[in-house]
Amino acid sequence: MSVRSPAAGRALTLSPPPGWLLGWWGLGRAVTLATAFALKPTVWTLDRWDGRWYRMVARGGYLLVPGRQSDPAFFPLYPIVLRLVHGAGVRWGLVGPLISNLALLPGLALFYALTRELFSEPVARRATIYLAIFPLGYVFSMAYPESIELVLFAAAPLAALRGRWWTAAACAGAAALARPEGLFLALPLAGIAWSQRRRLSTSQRGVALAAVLAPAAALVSYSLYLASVVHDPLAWSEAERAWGRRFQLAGVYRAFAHLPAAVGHTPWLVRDVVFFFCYLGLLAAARRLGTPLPWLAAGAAIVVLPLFTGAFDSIARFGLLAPPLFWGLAGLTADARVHRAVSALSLGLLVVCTVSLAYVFP
Amino acid sequence: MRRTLLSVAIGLAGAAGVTATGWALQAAALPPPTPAARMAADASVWLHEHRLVIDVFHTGHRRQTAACLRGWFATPHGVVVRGSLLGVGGGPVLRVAADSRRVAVVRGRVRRRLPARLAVTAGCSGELAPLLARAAQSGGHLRAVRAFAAGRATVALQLVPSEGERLTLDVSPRTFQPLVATITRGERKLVARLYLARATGRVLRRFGLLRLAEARSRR
Repeated sequence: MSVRSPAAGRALTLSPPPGWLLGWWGLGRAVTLATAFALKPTVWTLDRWDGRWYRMVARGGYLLVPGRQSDPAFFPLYPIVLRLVHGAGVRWGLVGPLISNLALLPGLALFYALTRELFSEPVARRATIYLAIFPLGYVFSMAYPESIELVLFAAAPLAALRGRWWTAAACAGAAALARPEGLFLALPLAGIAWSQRRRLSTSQRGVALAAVLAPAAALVSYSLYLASVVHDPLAWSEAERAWGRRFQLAGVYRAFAHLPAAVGHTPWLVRDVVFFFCYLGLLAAARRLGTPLPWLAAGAAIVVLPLFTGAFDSIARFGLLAPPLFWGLAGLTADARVHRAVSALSLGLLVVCTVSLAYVFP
Repeated sequence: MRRTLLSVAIGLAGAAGVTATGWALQAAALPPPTPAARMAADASVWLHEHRLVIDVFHTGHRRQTAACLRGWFATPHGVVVRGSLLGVGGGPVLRVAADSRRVAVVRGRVRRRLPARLAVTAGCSGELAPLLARAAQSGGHLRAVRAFAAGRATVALQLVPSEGERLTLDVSPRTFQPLVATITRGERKLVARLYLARATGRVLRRFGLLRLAEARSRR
């Protein structure tokens, strides 16, 4: 499969999502919501775990309590959106799941458009379907920022491919304010800028550079904001430590060395370990499909870097924001029967994983 | 060369614009923490940094001295749990696990005049610190008012630890060091003057905590 030439110059306008995309989005959300409501007939299931922390930030802002788990570990864009929508009259418990479920639709549409720009329509369609019904996809219905991050993560490179570098810069900056994974958008954006370098004017090159720097710049803005409200620019890193997340070179070794004990303590960790190795396989499949190297690097960073904190926790969820994984999966399922089998398996696992929500954080 | 420099300048200006816009967005859209929340967080840090609190309890007209040590302790079943040990001077020793509200008597008998649960909540850093941190982060039921306690002007942090309970923690207005905790539950009221201290062998021995603390370290 060859990588298609970028469609520079086109506006970042999206046609209404095709019927099949609406259908898979609806199916994925219906399965997730039905399973969640079967567990407990309230939004409680979708509003818990990290959702509580995001809501706390939205309601009361940031506060660092050194030595204890505190909210600067949760990036600001999603709480800002929660606060805005709550201001329109939606109650707190409902606002998070509502935003996440609705934002997933444009997220899938943008992901489909991006994948079609890079690969072919069939690959784009299959990858989008897998993303819509991925086992960990129940997170896209929770009060988590993954849906919004998906919108921005797909919109930034799509805008760049179409030569809309200011839009790309804004989306990349916003992505880094939603989740730390947004930082890795710099890699594909740099790749796109490099491939377009001969076509771009002097000022356009400058804007492209701004787009590449935008995620880091946005992270700086978060640090500056934390410095102004909690008097510690690295409060987000300090807060992460209270969750046992601390980047160290020996982190990967520790993650594997402590794995038996960690699984003994939290058997659910097996889920993340299994997904981690699946993700590595899917990255290899994405490489075979012809995924551009900067995208592979970004995908690998999203999957592998968390191991440097010494734990496998939540790696399964982090993979949701690594597009190459879904491209790799789509590359493996060109055969219609395999595609149907993978879709059915994914839907079944989506139910199982949603049930696990009552017992373990994603 | 000039064109390259111009591109870099535009790129850096754009990145600076992203930083400025990001900061402005956060500053405009998110509320800053309330002064009460900040004070509660700072008071929580004081308590977090001190494993040992020497308490002077006042219940009615009675005065009792005690010491509360936070750490990991062995239960009679040999299980090591995180929690607090409260030794009432020359009397009973109480233990409460960090994730439990049940107070166990490790040694001696508790006199009816000392409400054990209230004493542990008001007198132990291991109980007070998470209470304050939770109240600071959730923002609900937390108020700060000017007050006078321990012979000086203080800021009284008022919170509701659980249904029916009210806790007032008087802190220093400059450093936010906890000074006095007053807890009421129904008709019962307990005032604890808090002295944050270092856990030395002499203090632990005086309050009957040394052997219990050592039992953990020998394991």
